[in-house]
Amino acid sequence: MSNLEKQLLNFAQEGAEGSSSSVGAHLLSKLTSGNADPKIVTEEIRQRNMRGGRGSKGDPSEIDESIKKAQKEAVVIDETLSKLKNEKDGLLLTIADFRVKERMLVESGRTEEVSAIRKAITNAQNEVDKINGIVPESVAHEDHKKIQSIVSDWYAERQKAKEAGEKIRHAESKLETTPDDGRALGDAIRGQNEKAEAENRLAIAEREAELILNNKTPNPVRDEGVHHTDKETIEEKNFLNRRRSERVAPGIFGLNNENEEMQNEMDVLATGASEAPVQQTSEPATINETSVEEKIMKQELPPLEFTLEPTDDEKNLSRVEDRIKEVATRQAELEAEPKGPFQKSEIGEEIAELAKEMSSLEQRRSKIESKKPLQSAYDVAMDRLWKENEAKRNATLENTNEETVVSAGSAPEPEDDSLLPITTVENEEVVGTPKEGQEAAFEKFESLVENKVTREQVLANIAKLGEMAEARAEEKKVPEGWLRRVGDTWNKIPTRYKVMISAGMIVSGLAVETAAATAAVASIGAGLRFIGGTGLFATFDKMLEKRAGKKGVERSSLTKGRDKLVAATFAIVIAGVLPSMARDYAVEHGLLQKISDFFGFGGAHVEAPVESGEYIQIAKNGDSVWKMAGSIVAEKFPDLSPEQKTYVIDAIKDRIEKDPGSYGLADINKITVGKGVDFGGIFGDKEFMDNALSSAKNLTPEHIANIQNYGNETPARTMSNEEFLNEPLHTTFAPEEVSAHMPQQVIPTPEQAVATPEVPPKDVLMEGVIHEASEQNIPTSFIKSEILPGDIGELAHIETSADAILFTDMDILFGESKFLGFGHTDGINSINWKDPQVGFGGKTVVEILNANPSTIPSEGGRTFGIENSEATSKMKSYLLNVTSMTGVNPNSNEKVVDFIRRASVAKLSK
Amino acid sequence: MKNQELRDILIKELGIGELPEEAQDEIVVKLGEVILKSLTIAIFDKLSAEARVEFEKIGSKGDPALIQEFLEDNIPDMHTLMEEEVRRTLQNYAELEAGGGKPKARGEE
Repeated sequence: MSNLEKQLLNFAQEGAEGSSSSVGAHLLSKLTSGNADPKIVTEEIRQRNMRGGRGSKGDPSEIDESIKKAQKEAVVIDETLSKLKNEKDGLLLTIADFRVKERMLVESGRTEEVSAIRKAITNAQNEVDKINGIVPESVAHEDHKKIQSIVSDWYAERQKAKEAGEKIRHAESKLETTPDDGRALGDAIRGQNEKAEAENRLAIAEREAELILNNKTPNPVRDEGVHHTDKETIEEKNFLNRRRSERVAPGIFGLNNENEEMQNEMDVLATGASEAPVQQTSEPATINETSVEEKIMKQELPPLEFTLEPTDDEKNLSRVEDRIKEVATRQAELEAEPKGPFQKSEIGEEIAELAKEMSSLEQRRSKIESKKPLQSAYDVAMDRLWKENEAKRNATLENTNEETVVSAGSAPEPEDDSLLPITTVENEEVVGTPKEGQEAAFEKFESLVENKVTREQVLANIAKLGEMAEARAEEKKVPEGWLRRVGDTWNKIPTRYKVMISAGMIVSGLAVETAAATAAVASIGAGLRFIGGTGLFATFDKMLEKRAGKKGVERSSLTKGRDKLVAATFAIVIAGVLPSMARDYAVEHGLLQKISDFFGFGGAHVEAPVESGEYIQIAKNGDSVWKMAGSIVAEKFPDLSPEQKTYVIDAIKDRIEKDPGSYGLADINKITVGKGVDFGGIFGDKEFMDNALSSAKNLTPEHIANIQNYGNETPARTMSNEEFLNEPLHTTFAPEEVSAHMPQQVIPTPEQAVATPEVPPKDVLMEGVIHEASEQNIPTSFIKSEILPGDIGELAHIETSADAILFTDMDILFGESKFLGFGHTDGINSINWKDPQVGFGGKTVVEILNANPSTIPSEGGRTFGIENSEATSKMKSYLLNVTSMTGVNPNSNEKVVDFIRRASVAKLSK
Repeated sequence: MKNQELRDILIKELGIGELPEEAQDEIVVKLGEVILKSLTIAIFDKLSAEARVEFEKIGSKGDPALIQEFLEDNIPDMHTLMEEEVRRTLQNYAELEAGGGKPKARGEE
């Protein structure tokens, strides 16, 4: 809190009005000589000047002397008037800030402080009244208008950027379905350009506003009363005009009734002052150099920052509103679309989905808005502005507090006391020092903002660092958008990982040697999946390991930790700078969660944006994981068909089965009645749920028929949620009843189940792979090594190893060596794997498992891949074996290459 | 917990122990962002004109192996680069916090 504000608050606490200890009152007392009426004093000066003026009857030398004295006197008066004007400007600013503060306190229901601040406002207004009784008013609204115009421009540009973003999203969504649509591509490019231009203009507008507001550098004329030249006088006038233009805090310029009212009050006060009959009418005083050494009487306020950046909530709200618009547009399109007999169900489904999304968006919007029901986005921005300005003022005033001392005898001593109506103060008086008993009140008030102020100060400094980085980037000619993209990428990472990475980097820079630092940062790779950077992280980590290896250095755990930190940091930068690199590698989600749990960061379910409590199910008699998960699915996704629900529930059950401990279960089949099972982690895992729902919605007729017929030969029928949950069908998915060699999520037709060759549930093929790989000098240490969850350093190996497994296994299955082993063709380069039409490499697991090629070769040629009976049979056996060995089941649309890698990662991690 | 220990060291070093935890995290995260941006500039600055062109090309291919090779060739000491940028940022931060002296001039190496 500023000294001035403290002082005003003092008055409020005391109930004293117009205390002579205030800056304004003090200046008044100097100007008006004790109890003398200022108007009378001014009249005396005028008469004295007339008496000693040219053509009067006085003695010429006396007249000259009088003129000189009057000139000096006029200079002092001018200076004092200037100071009073400044003081008034400061008071007006303070009143404006108090108004903002008052509103905030009202909103937070802190009535005690509200009453105090209202008294402070009243007292500040009284001070303004007094000053207005002396100081002639000059009106300068130009800068004020300009700032208003900048604010309007800023909002307009922000709207343009938003619209451009919408255009881009629309075009991109069109391009997803029709990639060759030149018009959509053009729209996307134009949108990008428009957005960039709008953002550029936003930045310019902000800078311009800052320049205006920052242009308040103190000068010697104003503060010391010396070097008073004509040029400086002009500068001084300009300065005062600018100050006056800022009499209301910038963020609240005429944007609502309250502010208009406040502005009117200010204008009325100002007009009153201009009518005061105290204007000196004598000849203009000659400006001479004077030796006045008066300490700072005015409290110089630091510049008000003008940074109306949207807060996180504003951004979220804006995104939600954008999406609401998109959904509404799509709903209107669908309504208008002719509904043919074949489209009806599809359109109906989309309409239902959109309605659901709209309802969810509206809930989200009201949730964001309800955080501060009385605060609009504008109010939030004002709140922030106020805090920033308050922090700056305090910082400056703390430094200048010692200087705000009125020194006795510092004003020029007049030869004739009667000529100079300025009294000197006998004792030093520190302006703004609280009187006895008031300290507590100050402390109480200050404690309200103390923490926030410090936080704001630190953040303001970090923001300056950001500006410095931007300037450095500009100087180095770093391509436009790099820094922004790196920032965006960074912001996609969950906070706890960001804290960890930042902490690791900073501690490293501080040269704090601690094993904890490097050990803790070891799990940062898990956080990078949110930016698709896990692959890059693994690549860089491996690279750093290789470098150490080349130097023949054995990496200590400390070095490994540091390497991981560097790998993560570079992964984020590269993923930001080169977005195409940010592909999400098929890292098995459960593995990352396990690692995350191991390091005490909870798991993916913790960071899920759901209220976990609403997904806790208390087990009742006869309950099962299936039934409990089913009741949530039925409630949350009522529009899914029974088959789709079955699919989703099965996926949830599979996930729990992989790691029952994470859900408080020792065994998925053993549930204690009365104990809760928290499904929040699963339902809050957007990626998982999106995949499960998307796969459920894309079930083929065969899948649907299989689900319907699996353990229940009756045809599909419509069921209520209750019927659905009580269906005996569910029990057929109990783990113990699932065939060891049959993938649980890919439910084969009865015919296929018979036709599928039996594969021994042993690790035969994998063992063969290791053996063969070893024979062929392919490094196998990674396959043989036991990777413990704690040995996070091996994470980088896992992905590389998964690739190697795919390579080796396919080579064993389909690799071809010619005479004496010369001219070997790798399996993944064989026609069985690679052919774009029939090669297994491009097929999904389901396609392969459902394929039944004829054993009789077609006339006139060989067959390959999925058309070849022998190759398909081998591939089926292999896939089923992978499933039984790893416990990982393929997803319905999963490509065989992705499935093998995923299963390999899971296997290696165990 | 190791993570907590790391965090505590940092909070102490930054002198923001009196702030609420939420504010501490906010500060740490924002500082991390500045360091990353600073590192981005340093990486770019390290690249020759030819390397910059190559870098863009690699980006369009989206192959991590290529970017790995590229970094091997062009950024031989990733640790030093990162630590330099961390120190630069912290130095500037300390100067701003102290309020005395102007932080290192913009663009100054």
